[in-house]
Amino acid sequence: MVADTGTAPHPGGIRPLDAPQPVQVEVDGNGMPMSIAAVKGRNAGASRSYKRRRVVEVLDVWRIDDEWWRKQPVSRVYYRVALEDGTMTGLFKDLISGQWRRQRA
Amino acid sequence: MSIACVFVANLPLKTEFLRRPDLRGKAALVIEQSGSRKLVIDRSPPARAVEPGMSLEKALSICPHAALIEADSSLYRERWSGILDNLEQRSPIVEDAGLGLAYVDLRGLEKLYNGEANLLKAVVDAVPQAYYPRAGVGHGKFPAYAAALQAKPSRAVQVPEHAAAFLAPLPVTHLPTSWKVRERLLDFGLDSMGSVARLPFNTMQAEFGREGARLWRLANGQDDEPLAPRRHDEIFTHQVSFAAPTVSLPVILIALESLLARAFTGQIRGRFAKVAFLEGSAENGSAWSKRVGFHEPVGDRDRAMFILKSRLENLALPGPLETLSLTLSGITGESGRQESLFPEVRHQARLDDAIRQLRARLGHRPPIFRVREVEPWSRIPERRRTLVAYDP
Repeated sequence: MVADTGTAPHPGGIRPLDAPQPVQVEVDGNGMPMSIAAVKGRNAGASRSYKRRRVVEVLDVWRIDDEWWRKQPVSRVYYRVALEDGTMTGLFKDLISGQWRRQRA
Repeated sequence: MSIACVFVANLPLKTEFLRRPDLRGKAALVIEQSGSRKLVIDRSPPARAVEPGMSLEKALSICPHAALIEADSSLYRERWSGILDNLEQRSPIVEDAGLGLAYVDLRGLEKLYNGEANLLKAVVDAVPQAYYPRAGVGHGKFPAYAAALQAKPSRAVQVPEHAAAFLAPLPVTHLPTSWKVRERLLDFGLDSMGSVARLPFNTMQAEFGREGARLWRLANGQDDEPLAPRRHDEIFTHQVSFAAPTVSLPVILIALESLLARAFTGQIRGRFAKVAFLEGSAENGSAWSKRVGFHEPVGDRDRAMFILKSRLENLALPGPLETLSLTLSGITGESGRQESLFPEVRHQARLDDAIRQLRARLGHRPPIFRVREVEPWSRIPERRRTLVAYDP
């Protein structure tokens, strides 16, 4: 049985793959991620439940600045992190909105 | 009473004012790309010194502080179609004579509306108040048109029994003819329709040929040209929104492929289209469109895609597109199809058939997608690949 994703079915049209997902991140004094909690639901405001996991190691950090000529430029700092349960994931902080997102990068 | 002319002056500008009320009372120009030049297609009253058709450079030299509005032709056409639909609720025969000009057949409708006054009111009320329509009524299209030009906003003028006397004082520039003929009429000192009507018929015909004969009849209030009712062809139209505004041709082609798949597996499945019309709205508010006529009617996605792709090779967009819409028209009937000899093609056909059965069972398009690479080189991960609905 496939779990309800909370999103409306939308088979038509095109949509991006690897779209950023909302995530709650606790940071240390240097702004580095300390723990993350996956948010379930379409956005952070509609979150239903989450499980917090500790970041055991930041494996890589890089920055992307792109599409600066558009109304919504892209400015992000990406982190590749290892979590306490052994999984690795990608995170980024949107430097324009200040929000954190999880994304396979 | 037989024909009503409904005239909406400055329809593009009035449409723009509805979405940008702050421009009311200011000098504003609606401009449209024409080849390599930008031309003015409409202007507000404070910029009336600018003539429609003037180049943007010349217009700005006359009215340097005018606000510039990129023409959104599809929106104007959509609004006008809505008005024509309303008019068709009043009369079954409505002619679309171009943006802002329509003729309505009123014959036999007076009793239905309890008199002429109510009928005229119903015709004028078919147009939203914000467009300030003018209406004219006469026994021919041209007298009705001339009367509409004399009407005050949201009012109607009826041509009296003797149409020639009504038309006589009106300027000769109201006559529907070329600028060149109009200039020649003025050079002859024929500045009113009365001056043309008073000339012997033979003189006008000798000087201007068949056009002269036509103009003489019009100036005398004789116009027996029948109404050409609006055609209602079946069309397919659908739109997709991009996740992020794009100028990337691969992304646009994927969207186009998705739209074509939807068309040829859904509404017009098994039939053929003669014309494709692509429209996009850009991030900066301007619009882009392209019309492609197929030499032979096209009945499948791949063939249509092949043709459209070749026509989009040198794509010049006004800015990053936020939406893309496809309209297929000239829909024709089904023709025979031949099955493929090759097993891999038959395998694909079986897969397509399975998905069609799934769709029939679910009652909607199954959420089955294919992954397509779009900009694999992009530094932004969500730009690299996309999910496209799988349409067999």
